[in-house]
This record gives sequence, C-alpha cells and structure tokens, in this order.
Amino acid sequence: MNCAQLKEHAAAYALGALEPDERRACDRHLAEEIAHEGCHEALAAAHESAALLAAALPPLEPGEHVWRAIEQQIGAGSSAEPGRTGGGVASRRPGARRGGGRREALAWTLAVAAGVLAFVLGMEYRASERRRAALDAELAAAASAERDRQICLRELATARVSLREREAALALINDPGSRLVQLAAQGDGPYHASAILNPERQSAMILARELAPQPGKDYQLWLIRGDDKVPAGILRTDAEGRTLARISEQALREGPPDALAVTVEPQGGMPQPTGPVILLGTVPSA
Amino acid sequence: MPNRHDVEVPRPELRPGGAPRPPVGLPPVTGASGRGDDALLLERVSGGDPGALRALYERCGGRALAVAHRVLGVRGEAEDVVQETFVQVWREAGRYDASRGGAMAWIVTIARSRALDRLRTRNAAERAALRSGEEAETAPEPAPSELAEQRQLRDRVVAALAALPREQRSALELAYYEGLTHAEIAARLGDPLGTVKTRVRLGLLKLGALLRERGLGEQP
Repeated sequence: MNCAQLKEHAAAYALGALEPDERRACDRHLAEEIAHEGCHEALAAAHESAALLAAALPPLEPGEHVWRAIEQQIGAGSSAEPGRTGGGVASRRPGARRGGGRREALAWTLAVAAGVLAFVLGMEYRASERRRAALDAELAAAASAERDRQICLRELATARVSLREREAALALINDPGSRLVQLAAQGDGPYHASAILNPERQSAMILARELAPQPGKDYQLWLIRGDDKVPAGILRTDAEGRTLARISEQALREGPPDALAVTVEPQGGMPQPTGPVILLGTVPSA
Repeated sequence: MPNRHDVEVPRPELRPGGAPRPPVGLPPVTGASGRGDDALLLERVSGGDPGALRALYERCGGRALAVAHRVLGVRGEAEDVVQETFVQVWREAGRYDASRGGAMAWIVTIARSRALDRLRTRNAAERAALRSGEEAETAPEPAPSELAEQRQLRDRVVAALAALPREQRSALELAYYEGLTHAEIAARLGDPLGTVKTRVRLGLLKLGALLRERGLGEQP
C-alpha cells in the first residue's frame, strides 16, 4: 500500500468499514518509517469528520453512579506526579571582552548563543524523534492487540453459545489484564483459534473453528512452558467444527504458558502429544 | 507406531511497555473549554490526575453516552460502555497522539468501538429479546446541561448531514452506528460493493467539506 491508496481508504478506516486485511495493510503502511505524503494527516481529518457524526446526536447525561464506578476502578485518590517545568534553552552570556570592541564582543556573544541554541534544539529534535518512534511502536503494538481483540470478538459472534457464556467471554476479552493469542494453522488446514488468557484471574478461554469432527480422534489442547507440554483438555466441537471452551484454573496455576498448541490425538486424548500439530500460537508477554 | 511431532515454540514477541509519561509543567486550565483544553486534560490524566479525568468526563461523557446509546439502544448497557471508556482513557491517556485527531474524537471513538463490540456479540434473537424487554425505553431526554456551543455544533452537523445525498448519508450511518463494513453495507442495501465504497469515501469527504465551510473543520 502507498500513501495515495491509504488516503483513498482513510474515510473507511476512520468509520471502521474496512475488512480486516485492508485495515492491517493500512496499519502496516502507517507504521512504516518512510517520508509519508499526507496520509497521517488525511486519516486524522477523517477521524475528526467521523467523530462529528457523534456530534449530531443530542448529548445524554450519565448518572452519577457511572462516575462513582469509574472512580472505584481507577482507585481514586492517586496523586499526579509533580510536573516538571519544561527545559528551557540554556544560554550563557559571557561577559563582554575588554579591549576588543563592543561590536566584536556582540558578534562573539551571538555566535555562542546561536551555537548553544542549535545544539539544544538538535538535542530536543532527537529526543522528540525518539519519543515519536517510541509512540509509533506503542501505537503499532496497541493496534496489533486491538486487531487480536477484534478477531476474538468476531469469533465469539459466530460461536453458538449461551448468553451467559458469551457474556463471560466478552468480559474476559475486554479485561485490560487479558492477553489475546491467535493460534495459526500449521500446514494447509483451514483451522483457526483465538485464546484469551488472564493470568491474574487464572481464567482462560479458547474459541476455535473449522475443527471438523474426525472419527476416532479428538482435538487436544496443550499449554507449553519451555520443553513441557501440559495437557489442557479435549476441545469438543459442534457439527460445524466450532467450540468455545474454558481452560481449567488448575492448568493455569503455574502462570501463563509460553505458547498454546492443538494436536489431533486418539479419542480420549494422550498424556503427551503424539499426533500432528494443527494450531500453534505464542502467548505475548505482559 | 504413531508419529511423534515435537511442538516447537516460536520466540514470544516482545511488546514495548506503555508506562505513562510524567507531564511537562502545565498552566492551569481556565476560561471557556475548547479542543486545546481537552488535550491538556489528557496530558494531566496521563500523569495520574483523577481531577482531570473527571473534567474530561464532564465534557465528553455526554457525547460518549449518546453514541453508545445510539448503537446499543439500551441505557444501562450504554452507561457500562461509558464506564469502560473512561477507565480505558485513564489507562491509555499516555498513548493519545494529538496529531491523529482531537481528544474528544479519541474518547468518542473508544466509546463507539466498545459499544459496537457489545452489539456484535448479540445475535439477532438476543437483539430482539433485549429490545422487547426494554420497550418502555424510548429516546432519552437530552442532557439539560448541553453548552450553547455544543448545541450550535450539533445544529450545524445535522444540517450538513441533511445536505448529503441520501445514499451517502445512509452509508455513513450504517458504518458509524452499526459498525458495518463495506461488504455488509452493500449486502444490507443491495448495492454493488464498489458503489458503497465510493459513497462512504465521498460522503465523509463532503461532510468534512460542508463543516469546514461553516467554520467547523474541527470539534470545539
């Protein structure tokens, strides 16, 4: 994707109307460290225009209980870090030289001041560029996490589960402490799975699809920690190969695994993997 | 003998941390509220100032609730979305980048995104069941505390939307309030995909242009 193409997509991006692969292509382009030609600005303008659609609605007044709930969650009473005063341009005014003429002294003073100014501005520019690069990396990471979250939500939308199970899964997906894992198909299989792990709550779920029932076989989930492969249960799928399964607390007691894998095993499962790995995903660090 | 396939563990991908940055010394926010004030408030939130979050909540919470309610149609759920939104703002204020849009737009985008997440997890039967259970909930009364400047903005945005061709307006509303993709809009309206893409692009461009003509290129 290039800048002109991204500008074409800017409106749809801001409105969330792009397909996932189109949005990923836009994100990759935005994260590129190249001399962009106005695509960031076009996207910012599109976001502003899109947000104005919200301005067409009459505002409502949230109840005070909403703010109280927010306060409770953020832990009210946290104090701000003391602000730092912004660094000013250090300047020195050396005393005027005697015997060299006022004009010469002034020129020397101005030269020194200009040199100091250029040095400080250069430092500030580099610091600003480092900060921009760090923010861009954070944004890319946040965008990647948000993409994973969107994939989980789409999987959940098509899973045939009860309202209670759906609400539990949604709460886990939206918990800021949860880590989302995309398990990729190994080989040519159509399989796909997303997992949500919350180490603090010792709670985890996996949503999978295209795991077509196989006579005499079961799909078995494994938690991988270093060289250890810990069995985490059989995935029971419906006739269309979909499942939403909770991973047991016991399996998570030793902390989050390094990776998750699904293998095809004899019916009933095995104490250690014997069959082919069909799905594999690494668990992101906190 | 069954084949043994060792599971290889790819190297976990490391993600940069997101610790909030301490704020540079900021002047106190006084006088009429505006776009720059929202950005300053977010800077303070990123430094751990709950008073700044409260001020943002009072400025932006009403619009966030309006969007969430428009998407979900149920007040209680919409309020839950507002709560989640401001908790997320508290945690991620350090990630806000003013070059990518105004603070109000950022906050409302979070609220809309969370509302659409909830909407997508409802299947058609659940949506019908929830709506029938809340039949008594008609359109809620607007906040009495809407500022005059916000009312003026709203009137202008409504007028600009009315000036758009009906097909463009419909496409924008389906994308914004129902979170539909191009393909889903095309399927809903029975129109070709390419036509829908053009309507979305031109519709938003024209909306922006109409509002700039009225001196509203950016939100207050």
